[in-house]
Amino acid sequence: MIGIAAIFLLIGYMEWAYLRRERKSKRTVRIVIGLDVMLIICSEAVYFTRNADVTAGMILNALFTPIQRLLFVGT
Amino acid sequence: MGRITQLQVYMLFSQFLYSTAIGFFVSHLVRQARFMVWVSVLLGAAIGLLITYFAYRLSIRRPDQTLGQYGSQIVGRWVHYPLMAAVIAVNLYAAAFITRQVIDFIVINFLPDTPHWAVALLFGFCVARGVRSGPVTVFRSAQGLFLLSVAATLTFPLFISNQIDTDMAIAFITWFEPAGIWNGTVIVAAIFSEMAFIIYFFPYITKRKSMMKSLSWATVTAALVVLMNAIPTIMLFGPELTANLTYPTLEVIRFIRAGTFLENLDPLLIIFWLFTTFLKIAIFTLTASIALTHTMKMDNSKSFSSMLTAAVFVFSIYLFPTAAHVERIAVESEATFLLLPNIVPVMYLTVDWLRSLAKPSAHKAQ
Amino acid sequence: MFKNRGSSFQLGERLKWLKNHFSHTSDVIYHDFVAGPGVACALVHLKGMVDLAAIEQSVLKVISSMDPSMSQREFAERLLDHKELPIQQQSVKETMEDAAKGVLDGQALLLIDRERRLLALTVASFEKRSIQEAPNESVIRGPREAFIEDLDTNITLMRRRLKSELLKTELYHIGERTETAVALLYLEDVCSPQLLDEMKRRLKNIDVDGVLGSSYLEEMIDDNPYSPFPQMQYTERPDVVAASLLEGRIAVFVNGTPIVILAPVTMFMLIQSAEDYYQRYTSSSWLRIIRYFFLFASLLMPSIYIAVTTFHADMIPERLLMTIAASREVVPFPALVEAFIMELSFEALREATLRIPKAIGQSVSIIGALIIGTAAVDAGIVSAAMVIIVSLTGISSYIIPHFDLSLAFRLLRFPFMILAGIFGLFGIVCGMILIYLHLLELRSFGVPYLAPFAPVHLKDIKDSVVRAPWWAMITRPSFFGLPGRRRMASRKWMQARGKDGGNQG
Repeated sequence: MIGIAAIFLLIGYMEWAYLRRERKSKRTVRIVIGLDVMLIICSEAVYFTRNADVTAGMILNALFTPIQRLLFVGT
Repeated sequence: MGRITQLQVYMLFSQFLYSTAIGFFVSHLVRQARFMVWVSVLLGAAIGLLITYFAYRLSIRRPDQTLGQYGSQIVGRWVHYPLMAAVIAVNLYAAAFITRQVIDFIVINFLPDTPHWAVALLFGFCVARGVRSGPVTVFRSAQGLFLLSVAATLTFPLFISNQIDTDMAIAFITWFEPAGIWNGTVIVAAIFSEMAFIIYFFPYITKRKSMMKSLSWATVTAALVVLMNAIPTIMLFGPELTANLTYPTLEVIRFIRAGTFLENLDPLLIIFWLFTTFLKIAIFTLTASIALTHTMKMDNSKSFSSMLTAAVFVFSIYLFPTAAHVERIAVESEATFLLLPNIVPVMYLTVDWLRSLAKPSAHKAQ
Repeated sequence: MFKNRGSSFQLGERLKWLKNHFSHTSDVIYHDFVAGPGVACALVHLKGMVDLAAIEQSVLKVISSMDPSMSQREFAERLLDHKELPIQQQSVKETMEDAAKGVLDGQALLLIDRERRLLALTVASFEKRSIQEAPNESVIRGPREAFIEDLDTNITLMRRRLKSELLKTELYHIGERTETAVALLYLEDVCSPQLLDEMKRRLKNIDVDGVLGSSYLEEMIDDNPYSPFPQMQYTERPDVVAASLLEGRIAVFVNGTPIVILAPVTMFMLIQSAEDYYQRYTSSSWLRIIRYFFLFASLLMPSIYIAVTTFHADMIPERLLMTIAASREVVPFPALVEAFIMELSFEALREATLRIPKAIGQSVSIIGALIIGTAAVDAGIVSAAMVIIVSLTGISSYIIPHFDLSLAFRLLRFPFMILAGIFGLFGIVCGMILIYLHLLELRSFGVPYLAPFAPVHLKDIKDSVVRAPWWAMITRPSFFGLPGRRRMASRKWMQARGKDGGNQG
């Protein structure tokens, strides 16, 4: 859990330094940091549900399976 | 910096298409189509190319922009932004899934005591480096290793030519199972329709009018490689065993006995195949990165590349509990989540065409 | 700065200024004398930098024998305006500061009493090495001359090879304290103006105390200073420079070093040797392929050994596996540690060999081989197989003609070994991907480092992994130089024979 957050924080810091060096707009910096925060939350959520009976991956599988059944014949 | 040439487009997409097809899809294809796998591959490749053609028709209307930039003009902001968010999310999910398949392959077959996260960390670093360097570098990287890569994958079946059961060959013509053929076609179409990603790279590419020619050749090359691997595999193991093996191509390679000097050549021969999977994951992640950049009205995707790649690799480890779950998803829904994002450009093209019929003056001519 | 009092330009004042300027400088010679017309003069120069015989014959003797009835003004006019002294290179200095710089450059300065201007005479003569065989780039069949430290001699060597008025030499002085002469050589009709402008821009923006060698410049002007891969080529051979100029590249000569740097460069050029162009193309092509093989061997051999013995032992045939296992049985370390011990010892031996006095060099080499080779194996610290691997790797690294490139691969060998020790062949593949991506992005003055393979230039592959015959290399490389790339008409005598109707008799 800490490892995941640490990786994203490190990446966020490096990107922030890069954006500052390249003198990018504040909007760009806000978007990049915002995405970093969002990805930390998503990744931690996925991490915490990894041992659950139904993980996020299996939920998505459940979303796509009916469509595949429609596309396939005889399954 | 440089621009992407048509030769680079051909070389990248050739490797991109056959990479996971020969690695992970052979058993699913054979399970559905049995001996008619060649019909499924040919039909599926054609359908995939057709879907790509629609994406091309949409791109050529606004050649200096990507879908993320002009999509809102076609379907309106309220449809475009959620749809692009979904496309980006599905692309990241697909990238994570393929990554997990590759990591499982490596860990199960070559590094049994190594934790998944360690392999993911190393491979993730490579992919992050590639994605950050941008599409021009990734396309150029495909060019440098193309010949070796294709030659390596085409040599697999040549080494086992004296061990295959040629009596089985007649079944490739006499076996007929339409449902299986259709299902196999859907799977192959899902793989080959990934060429529709050009809609996100269009401004980077030169001589765009020759695009379909390059993509057609890439389709032919990839289909040839897939068939050159799938058919000998069936003739070696038979359709039942092939359908039940997790990695039939790997098992074919293990059958190779190149004299007495080197046995079990599989680690050597998969080196180039590993590079093609790197290309595949990098392109999926790059697509998501570029789509996100342009949807957010930014110009440089570098800042998103590392964090999206990190997300892909974190998801790949924790979204799917075990290899058995991965296998289940591959059977139940992989074709769908690979196919759906590639249908989106078709939808945009349809709406754009309808709007141009309604208001010819508003349509941006080619 | 010299401030003249009034308008007299007294000799004594100016000499005093010079002595002050060159205070505590015992090698500056001040020679006061009176010229024929009775005008007080002085000659200032550096000991050991001027040709004293030329000064005596062509300056002192001539001045002393000038017409005594001449006025001071006429005397000054004849020397400064008419340049009557029999010395080819003379220049008039307007300020004392300029004149002082000239003294440091090896010029002899003539001061005339009550004359503002000074005459700088280029009569430089100093000890320099004679032209010898290239110590680090020897060939069997080609020319043997190599550059020396003197810039003028080096440029002369180029002039003797390229007798074209389009060979341009532009001189710069770089280094605040060293004022090192740096010459840019290029062929005007072949070299791209954009490349030339970029090179000049980079050189002009160098702000440094001193430049003592071409490597100083190289690190300051290359595209990516953090990359271990060299982005400029260096050579000590005039024929290599001439060939590069004919392709449209630029050569940078630095006074004081025999090493010339060439730009732009690709990785494939660094693996070529001058010998390739003097042997027949079949042999050269074969040798190049061998070189590429050993290039990868020098990078990957220890890592592959570690990966195969640790993770992929099933790849090795049974008998060989038993031999390796038997030799490794007594070794207490894992393959990775064993490889590190051997590689580090080999690196230490290599570095030590460079600095050992010649007298004891041979005995130390033997001791090193004995200790590292035999004794370590007998003691069970390393296995025999590892000694063979490391030795072969060391030999492989010396096959690469360009020393900087071989150093880069030597350096990268260690991370590869670590990756192989942890991840096996997968780790090696990931390492190769990372290096490949780095090389793809690397540029040398705008030219992609992996050209002509990525991006592909099919016609330029003729002089990369293989060497096409000379009569087939009709065009120059396309990734630099001006368009209009034809450099020869292939085997015209064959076409002429065809027109004449074949051989006589």
